Amino acid sequence: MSLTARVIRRRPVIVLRLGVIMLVPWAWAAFVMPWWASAVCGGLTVGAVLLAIRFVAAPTAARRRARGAPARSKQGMKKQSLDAPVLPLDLESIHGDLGSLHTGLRRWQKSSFVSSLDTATARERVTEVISQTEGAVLALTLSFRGITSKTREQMETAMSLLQRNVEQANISPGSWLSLPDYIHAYEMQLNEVVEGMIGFSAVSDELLQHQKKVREHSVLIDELLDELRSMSLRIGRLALDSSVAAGESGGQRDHLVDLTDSIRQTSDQAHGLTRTVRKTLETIGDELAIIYKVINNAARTAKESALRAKADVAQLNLTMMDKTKDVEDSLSKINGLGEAIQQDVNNAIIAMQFQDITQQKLENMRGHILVEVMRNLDSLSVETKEMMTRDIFLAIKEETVGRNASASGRTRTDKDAGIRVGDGATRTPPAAPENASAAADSDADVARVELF
Amino acid sequence: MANILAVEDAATMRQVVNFTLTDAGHTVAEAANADEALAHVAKAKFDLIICDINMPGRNGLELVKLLRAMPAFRFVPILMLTTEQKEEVRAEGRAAGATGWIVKPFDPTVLLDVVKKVVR
Repeated sequence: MSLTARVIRRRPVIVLRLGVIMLVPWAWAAFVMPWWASAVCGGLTVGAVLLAIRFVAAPTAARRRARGAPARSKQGMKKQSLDAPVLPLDLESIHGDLGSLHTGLRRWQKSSFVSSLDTATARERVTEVISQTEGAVLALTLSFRGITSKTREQMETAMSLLQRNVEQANISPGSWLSLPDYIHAYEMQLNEVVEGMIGFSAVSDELLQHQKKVREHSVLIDELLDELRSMSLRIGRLALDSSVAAGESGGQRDHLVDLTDSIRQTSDQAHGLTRTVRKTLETIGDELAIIYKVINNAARTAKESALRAKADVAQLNLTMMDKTKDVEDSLSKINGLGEAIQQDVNNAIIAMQFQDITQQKLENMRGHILVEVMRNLDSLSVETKEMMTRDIFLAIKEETVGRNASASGRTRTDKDAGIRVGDGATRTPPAAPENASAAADSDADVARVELF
Repeated sequence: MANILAVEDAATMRQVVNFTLTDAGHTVAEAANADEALAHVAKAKFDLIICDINMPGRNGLELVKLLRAMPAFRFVPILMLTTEQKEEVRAEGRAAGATGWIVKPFDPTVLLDVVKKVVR
């Protein structure tokens, strides 16, 4: 709505009077002028009235308002009043402004009261949020603590599989071994077995050598026995020849025959013994041959077994070392994951500290800012309420009425006295229709407040 | 490993500090405010004190001044663990006798490094 239209709407009587005054110079010649000249004059008059309102009445009102601005600046409304379009100040305006101010104050007081309650609620909510987040983060911290300790324990257990226990030289039976230690011990054990078998094979070879020597000795003995047998035969033949010779010569023949018989008998016995020894030697030789075969077979088997075992052990070791490498790689990966988990936990710890910082800020807000806001709103509410109960509105109104009455000599109607000064209370309540009129004015004032 | 006192009003932050240091093998005692911290130092000796600034009651800087006034804690390192980053507050901490200044949120590894440096 433009300023001119607003003035015409609010002050129609003044506008009408202004128009009449401006038509006075034209009125005496209106009867002698043609109709179109009268129409032009009428239009120019209307235009002059509008221009007068726009360029004379409005600036005058603005100057009057500017003079009253310092007082309003105390209430924080200076800027609004200077920036806003201004109206002519008269009793109607003041009446409307006071009603508007009263309505505004009442709304202000209500808003302050509601805001104070809301702030108290917000404070309670902040407390609740702080309590809940603190509990949640505490629980999270404890959980993280459990996770990291368990992860570390897991990692240590896994890594201990690879850690060689060098100091533990004498490993008692049944004691716990790390995987590399176990492989090492197994390898040593197998090597000892293989070495034992190879040793057994070497001993068997040596035994075979001895057995060969025994066989050679038995062959020599056999030859000696052959020699003894031939010697015995020759002795027996000599004894027989001696006996024949003695029988032919006479003399001590009988005695010599007996002697040669005895020699021949002894030779036969020696021959028998030689045969027995030979048989025994043959038996021993046969036994030695069997033993030789058995030992030879055993030595060969042992040697083959040892060699096979050695090859198997080497292969097994290679396989186990490969497996151990795989296990080591897996454990290294697990270790890397554990370190990554630790890093994540560190990040989580950092993130949890943000909660603490947020909590501190919330506590600061709850402890200082919200309390301050509540206090301010409470005092604002109380002061507004007090203002509304004071007689200041009436005093201002009466002073304005007196000033305007002396200036214009115009008598105020009873309805101007119906200004509400309290919390819904009406000072000098007029009749019901007038009250309704005041309420309508009050509604109009709410819109006018927007001008400030 | 060191015997450390953590003075911090926020329970979560105390937990975090405790967890970080305990995990590294240190022994940690907790205090929720300056009065509790003073009660702790009256009973036991500490190799390091980690202290917040904004606490209910006496603040961290006041606590540092009180500790520095005690002969037993004149040379004990005191680390300030705080959200404060203003240079003037740091200067106050230095003047009060703080050994170091760690701004929250802290990285656990950084805290452990600093602890390792200040604890002999």
